[in-house]
Amino acid sequence: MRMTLELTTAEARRLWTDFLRRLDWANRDLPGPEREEAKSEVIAHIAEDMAALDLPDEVERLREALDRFGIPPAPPPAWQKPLAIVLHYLAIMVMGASGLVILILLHMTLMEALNPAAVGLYIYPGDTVLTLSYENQAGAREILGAWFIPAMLVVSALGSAALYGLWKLALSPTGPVSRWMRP
Amino acid sequence: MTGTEMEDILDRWSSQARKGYFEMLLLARLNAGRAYGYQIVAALKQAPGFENLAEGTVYPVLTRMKKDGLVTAEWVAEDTGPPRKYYTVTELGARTLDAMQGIWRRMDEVLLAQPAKETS
Repeated sequence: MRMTLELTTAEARRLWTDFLRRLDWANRDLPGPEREEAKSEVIAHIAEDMAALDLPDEVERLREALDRFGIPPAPPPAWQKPLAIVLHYLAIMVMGASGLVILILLHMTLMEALNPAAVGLYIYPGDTVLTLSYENQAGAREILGAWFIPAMLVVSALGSAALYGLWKLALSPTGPVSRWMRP
Repeated sequence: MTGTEMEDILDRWSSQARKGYFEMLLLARLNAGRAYGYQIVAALKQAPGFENLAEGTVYPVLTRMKKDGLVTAEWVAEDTGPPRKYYTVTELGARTLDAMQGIWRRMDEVLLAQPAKETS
């Protein structure tokens, strides 16, 4: 059932177009036929309310009917859509790279259990950079020692939680970034 | 406690309460006979606390009730004006309303019962 609201003034048409844009955005998660049906029902409601209102001006009648119905929030501005796409694909890259690092950390945790003398976190003399290594480094001092395994497990767990948060934000179909990207 | 604080508490409480019996009100209206959205909204606005109801909030609830099988809906062409989507309560909807009213009556008995005052 497809319906339209007949309006005679430019201002009323502008108000109505803006309202429909907001309504479409509010119902963007509904399948196409359901969205159209919901829109038809709203149109029937507004038409009925405008006919019942005792106001001489069409714009005033429409404004009053829309106020009573409740005006949905506006969709985000158009510039946010490219930004959402950039965020989405950036998140994929970050998740891929970070996921690989977490896998390496978990692998090192396993190897530390099998070969505790070699695997670890080292620091070179006179250096401040920490180095993860599968081999005992000549001249390097191993830090963490027996704490290596719990420390790596904690870092992996925190990293995984952060990646899950990033997934929810930018990649999940119901997340805000994916929702912005939808037409 | 000032009057304003009590009003704030009552506002918060009545807002929660309205959400709780919204579906029951809709079912009760439809149980009286089939109706279309605008009619349902007009009936709801007669209920205490619903005078300033945002009319658009009714439709998602009706859609959910339809999905739950509590009501059915059909478009009917009108001689004048746009077609109207009429909602009719189903057998399941009527039974659900009956059960809701039973709960309401029991709650009413508990809430409004006058406890015997303790004598010292």
